[in-house]
Amino acid sequence: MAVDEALARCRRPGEATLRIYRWARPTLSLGRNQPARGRYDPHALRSLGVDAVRRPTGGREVLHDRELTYAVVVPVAGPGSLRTVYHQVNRALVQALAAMGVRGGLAEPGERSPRPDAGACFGEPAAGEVMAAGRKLVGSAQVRLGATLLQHGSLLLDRSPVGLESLAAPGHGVGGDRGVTLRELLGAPLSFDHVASTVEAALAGSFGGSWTRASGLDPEEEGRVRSLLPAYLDADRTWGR
Amino acid sequence: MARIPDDLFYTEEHEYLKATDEEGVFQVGVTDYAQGELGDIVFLELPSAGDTFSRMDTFGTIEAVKAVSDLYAPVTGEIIAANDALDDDPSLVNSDPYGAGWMVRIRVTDPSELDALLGADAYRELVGEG
Repeated sequence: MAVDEALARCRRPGEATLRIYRWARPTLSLGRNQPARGRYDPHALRSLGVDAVRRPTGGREVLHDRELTYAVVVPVAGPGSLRTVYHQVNRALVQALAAMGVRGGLAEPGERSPRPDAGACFGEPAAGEVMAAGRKLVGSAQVRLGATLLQHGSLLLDRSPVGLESLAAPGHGVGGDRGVTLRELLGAPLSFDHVASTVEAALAGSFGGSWTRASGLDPEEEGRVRSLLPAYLDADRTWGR
Repeated sequence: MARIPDDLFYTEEHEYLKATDEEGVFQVGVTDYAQGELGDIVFLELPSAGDTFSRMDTFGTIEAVKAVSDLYAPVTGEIIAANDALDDDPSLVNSDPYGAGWMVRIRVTDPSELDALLGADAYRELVGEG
């Protein structure tokens, strides 16, 4: 998450970045503004080997485990650009799914968008999110940093053996495992690399321009990650709200 | 079409300043255009009375759907009040941005900074409604 933010803060004019990654350990990410204090059981997180982090983006909690995570960093001109990018990315993801044999679509506008305290991200789709078989397959969130937008999101590859509910504090239902995974849709697993290259091709095609594949961060980005990391590792920042 | 009242000051960050009965104190919020573009506002993080900011400092955040954006101080000044009603009902920013959906009241430190703000016509041009 710190790398995602660093990429956004170091974006050069005229450039955009796509990062695709996965998680070394199951990790619970909390939305920038969502209340978390008392909602989860720290002993359960420790005993199940689950890390926790506060995202820079909005939305609600996600248990990252057997998923593909993408981060898109693009320039934005005004407040309307946020929804434009949101739909552009999600339409590209639907195309990627089609290339993998999955018929996906975008969630219809429902009632008013859920607040950050409305329960887990995958518990309920928001308008425009990527769905398949009537359930949420990709959860995404955004932050605007001046003239730069970071959007990142989770494409579920397989169900986590941990389960969000097993992390909840006693008496707190988090309603988090209602999404659908690619494996469930296809009846067989797809390799991470295959999904990553398909998603990369769809997003690169959607945004256009010329793309260069980089294997790591440049020195400026590495320096920014180092400066951001203490905040991302700060338990008060993660759990204090 | 977004409402852009003639008697307000505007910023390129899509905030407005509205004069209050108290001299030098302005009500600050996001414009009708901005709320429409952002969509459903679901959360605001606002400063406390007594906090001070320089122009273009980040003074809070606004979350719409699942997008977080910083709020920038349109002028240098001291926060006189924040709109606590938005804690319970952030949708007031959508339904009444120039009224019940105001965000903060700020006492302007340097009135000359108001000269750099946009008038209604300039703001209409900015958002393509001129």
